[in-house]
Amino acid sequence: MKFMLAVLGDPNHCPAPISAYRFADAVLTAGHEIHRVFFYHGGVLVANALAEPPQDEPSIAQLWQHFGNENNIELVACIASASRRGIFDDSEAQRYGKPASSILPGFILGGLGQLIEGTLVSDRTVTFGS
Amino acid sequence: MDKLLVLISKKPYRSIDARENFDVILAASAFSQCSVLFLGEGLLQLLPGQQATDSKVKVFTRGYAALPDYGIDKYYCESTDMEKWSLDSKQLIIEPIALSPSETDELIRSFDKVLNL
Repeated sequence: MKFMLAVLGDPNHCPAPISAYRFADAVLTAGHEIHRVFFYHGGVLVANALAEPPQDEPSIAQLWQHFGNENNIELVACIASASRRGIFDDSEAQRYGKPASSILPGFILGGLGQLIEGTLVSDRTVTFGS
Repeated sequence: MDKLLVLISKKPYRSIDARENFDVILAASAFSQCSVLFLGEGLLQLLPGQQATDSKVKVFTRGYAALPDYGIDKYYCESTDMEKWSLDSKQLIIEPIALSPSETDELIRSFDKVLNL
């Protein structure tokens, strides 16, 4: 079965990003496929390169970064949600006159069309809510 | 074209999430034959005359009136939610069809894809 995942919850305020990560891992272990992971609402903060959790705490961002890289799965942060919350890639940072990019490598910015397209081509869309 | 059902369950002005979900509905209209099911506090997004000026928030819910222009003309809610807040569908910004719990189950199953926000 092909899954589309949407991560809506802020990593500092709810368990959604880590629940989604564990679900995604289980999906692949069970032999299913993940079309894309779309980060929306506060979920885009998973892609914040400027956040640094304490050293004795796991980094949800790094877990996702590693997961996307290892399994060649696209991690897309909604461009509109991201700009509201201070996540910019190089071109968006330049466009808004921000001092630097702030998106974690391994994540890309994309539009809502990628959430809808992913929903339409996948068998199930599972949202991890805020 | 695939039939897509978007589930809206967030109250309108508690956070920016409901505003962002409205954008999802608009985007969905460009890619699919989209309908919307309002669940729980999500139904409160359809109350007319909401005043958010003092809280400096954009009153995005007025935009629901424009959904027919985007080709979205089927809206649903649960009759239990209508009763809970003593609402009449005719008084809302757009007029949803009120469903019983079993009809809601049937509705969700009748769509090719479901996006639960």
